[in-house]
Amino acid sequence: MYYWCGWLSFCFNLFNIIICLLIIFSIFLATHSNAVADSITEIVVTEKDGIYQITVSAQIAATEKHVRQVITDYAHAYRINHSIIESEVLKSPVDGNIQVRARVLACTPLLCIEVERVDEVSTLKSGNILAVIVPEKSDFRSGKALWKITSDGDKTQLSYWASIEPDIFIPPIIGTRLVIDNLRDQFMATFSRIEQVARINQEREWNDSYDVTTVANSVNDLPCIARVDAAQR
Amino acid sequence: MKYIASISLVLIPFISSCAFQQVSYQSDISPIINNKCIECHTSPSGNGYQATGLLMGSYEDLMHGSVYGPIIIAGDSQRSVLNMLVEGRAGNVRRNLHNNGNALTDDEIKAFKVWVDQGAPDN
Repeated sequence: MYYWCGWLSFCFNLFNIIICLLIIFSIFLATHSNAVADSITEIVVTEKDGIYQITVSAQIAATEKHVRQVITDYAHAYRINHSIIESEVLKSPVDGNIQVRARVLACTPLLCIEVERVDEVSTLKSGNILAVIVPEKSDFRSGKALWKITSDGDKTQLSYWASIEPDIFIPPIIGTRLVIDNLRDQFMATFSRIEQVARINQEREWNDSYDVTTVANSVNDLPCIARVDAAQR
Repeated sequence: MKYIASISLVLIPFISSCAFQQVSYQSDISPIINNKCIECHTSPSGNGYQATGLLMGSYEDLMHGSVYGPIIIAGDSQRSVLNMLVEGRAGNVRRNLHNNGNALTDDEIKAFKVWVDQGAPDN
């Protein structure tokens, strides 16, 4: 009781009202974030010396085959991330590899930035997918990403790790924070969409009496995706 | 390619869309669709419909989108799937869409863009 009274008197001070509101807002954000990611077990985005590291892990409610198909469908990359406004597959100088060019529209409340990247993409013996940025064709000094796609019965353990060094000016502190938040939001949405699209494709394959209208409606009742999408809005 | 990133204020698309005459769904967009798109995007046997479930017979069909979700973000042609596809921004999909010699003209592609940027109204 004394504890709460102490907090109340603290908040009654006009100057401290702002601090109280910030604390309440932070608590809201924290609880909100927890509610968002039922299927995402880990999402961490950090920055050090201009290099951003991203780690995301999730259990996807679709088979490994369909998850892999969605992730490697580079011509339809827009299906898993609405910020991808252009994509194409290019020939790689390395046998067995491909290059993927993508143009991404990254938006904050104040401005939008178009970023171009070309990745040298290879499938490792393990089945994991490695993408290494080609700096001379990209707005990045360096970067690489690894998709680990592991079958887990009728589900899939999906993890993504990336390290990227943008070659564009990002204002310190606020700009970095905005980039981290944007990356975090983008990857949460992307993982949700991977699950959603993989399940749509899986449903279409399984259902002999396939009806696109039925599938489109039934997908809305599917797993964690709807909750994540709603939270993203 | 370095330093190619461009920064644009969110108002720029709005301002640029105002520079064009109002595009009408009924007068401008629907005739293009009927001439160039509807053949494949008809239930139940159209190739486009079977591939993605996208019907284009009416404004409501178009706004409903495919099994993967909406294809139009009103006011944002840059991120609208419809515009990405017809402009050839999604791999080689544009070429595949129009390999029958009945390709969309530049003016028709532009009409889609302006219409979406103007909010994709049912006008």
